[in-house]
Amino acid sequence: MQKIRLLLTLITLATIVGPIAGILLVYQNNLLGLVIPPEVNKIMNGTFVTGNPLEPPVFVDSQYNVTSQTVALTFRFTNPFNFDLTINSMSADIQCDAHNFPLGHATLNNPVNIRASETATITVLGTWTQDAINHFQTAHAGAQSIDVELVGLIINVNGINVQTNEHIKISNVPIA
Amino acid sequence: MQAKINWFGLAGGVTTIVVIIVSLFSPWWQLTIGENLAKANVSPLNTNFDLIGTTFTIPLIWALNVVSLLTLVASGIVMIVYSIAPTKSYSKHLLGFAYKKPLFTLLFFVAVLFALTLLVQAILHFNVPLAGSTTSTLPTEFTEGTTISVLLSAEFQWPFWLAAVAAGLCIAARIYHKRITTTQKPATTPTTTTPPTVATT
Repeated sequence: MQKIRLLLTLITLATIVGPIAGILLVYQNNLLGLVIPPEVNKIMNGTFVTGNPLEPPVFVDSQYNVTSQTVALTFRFTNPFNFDLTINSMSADIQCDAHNFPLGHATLNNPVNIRASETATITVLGTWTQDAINHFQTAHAGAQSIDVELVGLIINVNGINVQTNEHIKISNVPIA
Repeated sequence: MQAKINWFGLAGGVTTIVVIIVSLFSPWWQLTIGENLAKANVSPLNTNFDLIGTTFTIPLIWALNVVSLLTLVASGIVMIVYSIAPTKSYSKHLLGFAYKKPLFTLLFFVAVLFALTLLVQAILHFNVPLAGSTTSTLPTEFTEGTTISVLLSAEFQWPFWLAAVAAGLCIAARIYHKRITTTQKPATTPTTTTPPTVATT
């Protein structure tokens, strides 16, 4: 009876002390590594997964359709992750950079899927309001293009909604 | 004579072993951030995190998981051994060792999970649901003025409920043990009476 009791006590001790002592021995020179694995360090350095920092989308091109009064803004974005990303929605107000005059609203028409480690183009469509057309005729008479800003940008990536107060400047957007 | 078996104990021991095996592949509780952008797969036996396609674990949590795994393995095996011979003199010690561990593991798991969600809410002001879905906004001091709201979905998975069943069966085994021991009749040995000796002269 005493042997059984002793054996059970030893099992209890071994199951608790063994793993804890083992992990402490392995990490004796790096106790912080016990709670912060290398992956978390990479997140802190902003170089998670690929070793490259996450770069914001790069503006590539813009095109204007006179009849529909819409401007297509094209961005290029490289997905640095080993994971497919889906941009579900993207919207922002467009305003004149020189006069802070509201020109219209830009939205992403369809969700964009960006496969792991691949680059995709994202086209955002903006429609000029009648006030914007009047503004072009009065404040930018004769100009072929102007600089605009995207304000109040809201982007939804894989269910995460990001809203920034930063103004994103885009140069030489055609208005004629 | 029919051998006595504590069926609740046998079922509890086997279910505990099954819980251990399934928990290596499936978590007890899962938190999903966004549309599978990140996941926390949590169980007392195997906890890992999946962040943008990369899975990792925290070494200290891994060691605690091994402690739970070994404890439950010992508990399951000892419970099965006890159940086959519940009336032996040492059986009560085996039962005492085995029956509480699945319940304590379950209670400890729920308590830690509950405490962690409260802690995150108190310190980071970030609402993490124990079950169900919610949209939480990250504190702006961490996001440099950008507003980031995240869809969070949490759910207890079926291994958690299986563990609850295992804990219940082990408690039932403890209760049933009393019945086995009280209904056990003491071994009867034929009494022999010696006839009175007649003194012969």
